[in-house]
Amino acid sequence: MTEHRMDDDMDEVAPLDGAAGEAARAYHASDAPVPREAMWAAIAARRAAASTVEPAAPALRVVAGGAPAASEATARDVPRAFAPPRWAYAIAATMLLVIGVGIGRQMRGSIVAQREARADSVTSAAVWQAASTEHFGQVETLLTWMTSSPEARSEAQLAAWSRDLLGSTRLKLAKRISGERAEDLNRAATRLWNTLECLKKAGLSPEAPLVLDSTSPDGWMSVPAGMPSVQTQEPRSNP
Amino acid sequence: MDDQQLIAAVRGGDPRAEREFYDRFVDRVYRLAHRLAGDAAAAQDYTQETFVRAFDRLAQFRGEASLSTWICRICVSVTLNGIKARTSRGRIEVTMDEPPEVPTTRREAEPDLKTRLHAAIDALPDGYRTVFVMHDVEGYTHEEIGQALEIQPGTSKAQLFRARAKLRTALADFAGEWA
Repeated sequence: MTEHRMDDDMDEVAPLDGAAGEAARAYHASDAPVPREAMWAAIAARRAAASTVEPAAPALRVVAGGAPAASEATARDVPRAFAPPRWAYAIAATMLLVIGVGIGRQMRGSIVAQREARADSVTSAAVWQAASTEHFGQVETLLTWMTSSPEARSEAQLAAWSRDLLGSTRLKLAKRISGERAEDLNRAATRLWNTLECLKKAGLSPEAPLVLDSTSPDGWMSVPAGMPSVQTQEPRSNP
Repeated sequence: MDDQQLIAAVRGGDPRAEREFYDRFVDRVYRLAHRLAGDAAAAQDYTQETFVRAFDRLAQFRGEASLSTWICRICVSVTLNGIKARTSRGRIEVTMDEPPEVPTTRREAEPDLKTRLHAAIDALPDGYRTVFVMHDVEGYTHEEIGQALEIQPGTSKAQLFRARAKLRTALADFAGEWA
């Protein structure tokens, strides 16, 4: 470390030596080995997290009305109506988890009763399990996609995922919500996606007709699907 | 692979070069952060922050100092700023929770040489302490310190002398043992 000391000619205040010199060299000395791997993992994680919020990164594109039939659509057929920023996916995932769990728990009892009335052979627990598995599977798919390399985020994947999330009919409703609430189409689409996931989790058909019932300035929106009504809210977080 | 080749490879996004860059400097950075911070957890935080910034800013490295000195400069900056932030938080907590300690002159409470010296080093102004630790404890040259702290080597020398003088004064009771 010491290549060439420059204080050889500085005898005004000599270095501490003897016991004091030893004591000085022990100042804040680290006896433990350097935690190389742990720090490298933390550095890699921080750098990866930072790279996922780059504004220029590819974003999900959802068809905004007039889309071709799913069987005919290709990646190039999908109009690029909007490109949600990456934080929208984080918000979407949060909304999905919070609202989905909340609504699902709230409605669990009534759904069991409905299913018994239908003499459904599938138990409510099984439906709950299946819906939850699918629900978290989609979240996992979304998060995996978000953190994947740019090369892995192909247009075809995006188009397929968009069609799976919202059909053209739902997208029209999303456009309506977007107009009513004066919010981005991607946010409105995210609300609807959450609503559909809540319905599935509650054991209801995701094909149930949805109605835009009410919106409030504080961010809440009510979307009834028959008797049950899903309330959505966009949480705010500091970057 | 020399520094220039390593820098080029890291800038090119080669993950093996990034790891080599880390391996080459991590011990030095961690040890310096630990010496200045005096705490393993804080040293880890500062080391991580140093490398995150180094990777981000490597494109700005112009080669005016050695790569080692450049990353050392980042480490010192990160560590001193972190210590300052922690100290200011700590001061608030002390003020709220307990009265400041009153110095005692009781002889039996006198710490031993090492404890007293370390307390005296802790009490040095930031500039003196940093130079003292880098030079007398870690063995950096005044040129390296000057580049790392963006001061003249002469300033580094002057601060080192003042630091040593203060420490000698603080250790006057032990003068017979080490002078």
